[in-house]
Amino acid sequence: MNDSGKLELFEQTIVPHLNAAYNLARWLTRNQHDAEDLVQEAYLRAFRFFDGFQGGDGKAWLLSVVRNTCLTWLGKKGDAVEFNEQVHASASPPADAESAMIRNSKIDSLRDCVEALPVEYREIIIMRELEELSYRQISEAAGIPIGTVMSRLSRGRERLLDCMEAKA
Amino acid sequence: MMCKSALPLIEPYIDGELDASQAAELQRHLDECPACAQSHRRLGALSTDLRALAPRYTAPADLRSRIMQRVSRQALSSKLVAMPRRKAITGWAIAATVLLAVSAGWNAMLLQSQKKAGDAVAQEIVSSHVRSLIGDHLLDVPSTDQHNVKPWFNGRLDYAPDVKDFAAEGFALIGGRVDYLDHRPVAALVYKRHQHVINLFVWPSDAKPVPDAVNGFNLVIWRHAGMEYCAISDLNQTELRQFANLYEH
Repeated sequence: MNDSGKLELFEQTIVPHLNAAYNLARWLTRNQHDAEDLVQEAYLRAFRFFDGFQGGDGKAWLLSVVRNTCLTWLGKKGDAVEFNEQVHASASPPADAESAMIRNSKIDSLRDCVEALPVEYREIIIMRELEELSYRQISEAAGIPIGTVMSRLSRGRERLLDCMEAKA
Repeated sequence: MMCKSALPLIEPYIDGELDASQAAELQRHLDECPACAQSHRRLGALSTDLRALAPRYTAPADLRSRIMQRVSRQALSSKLVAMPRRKAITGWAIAATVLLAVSAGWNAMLLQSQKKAGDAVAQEIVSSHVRSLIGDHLLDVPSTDQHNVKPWFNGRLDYAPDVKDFAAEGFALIGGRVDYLDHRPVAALVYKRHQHVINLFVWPSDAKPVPDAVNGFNLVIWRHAGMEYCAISDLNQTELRQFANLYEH
């Protein structure tokens, strides 16, 4: 593939999935600035490896690059596996009546519960429920067998239900 | 169907991963078994809530253009590396020797402190120019009529670029497009001189001095009435200046 064809094909097949890439990075990093940086890095990587993309599913392929970029970054930061509930709790606003009310809303509970999930469940939940990827696409994007996709999805949901019920 | 075989199917059912006969069979079981039906309701409600209520974060408006800039710069640099060695060296030699200060009206103090910013803008201009020449990125509005091109920019930019045609003088307007430079959308007017493409970028002045040759491309920069103009081409400096003079007068 020549350079102009490559850039053009990349713009047609990969760039349109920017919002999906950003959404996943935003949920994995839990903050806007790191998500922006990592999405840019992921796109540069994706372009570098674009020759290896055999056509097929551009969204799943891009998300696999975004996911790997984010997990590498989280690994370097040292919180790839466990999310520190203490740190997260101390970052919450003071429990005055108004903010308590807002935090009690369902949207905030959902967000908090998803953010509190270990990253290996969180990524699968986001890909399934928000990006609406099929099991096969998730399996491609996360590089795990479909059986593992199903079991992680199931455990992630179980944890979410427990978390939501605890907040209710 | 027994609960033991029904339970593992509940989530794939919610996720639309069962085929029609499996789905029908499970649904029959759910109709008869309150415990499995309860589990199905609970998981289904969670899925519905997540889809309806969990935030779907959208990328900031300028992220796409920032990414495309970096990606096309990467494409450009790999192209330079791939160029025959002698050609590449000539390109850089031209870039290195023709770094002249432009436009006498500019404050010398500012010139120094803003040189770095100007160099970065020049690199962006070169990337945009190169990118415009590959694929069909050159023109958003292909037209040789200045009265078509000028109104096309309305609503796409927060300023109105002056669009002129010099077909009679051998610099034919062929159209325009919106491009990104220095973190903002800018007008790019496109001209042809024989087989050479000239991109003329027009944007409101911000007083960054831009070098007049980069990577073998010639740049001619001028300011008029609060606007910055940058013409870029592989055309020689003399003819490119001739074009700039036509435009200015």
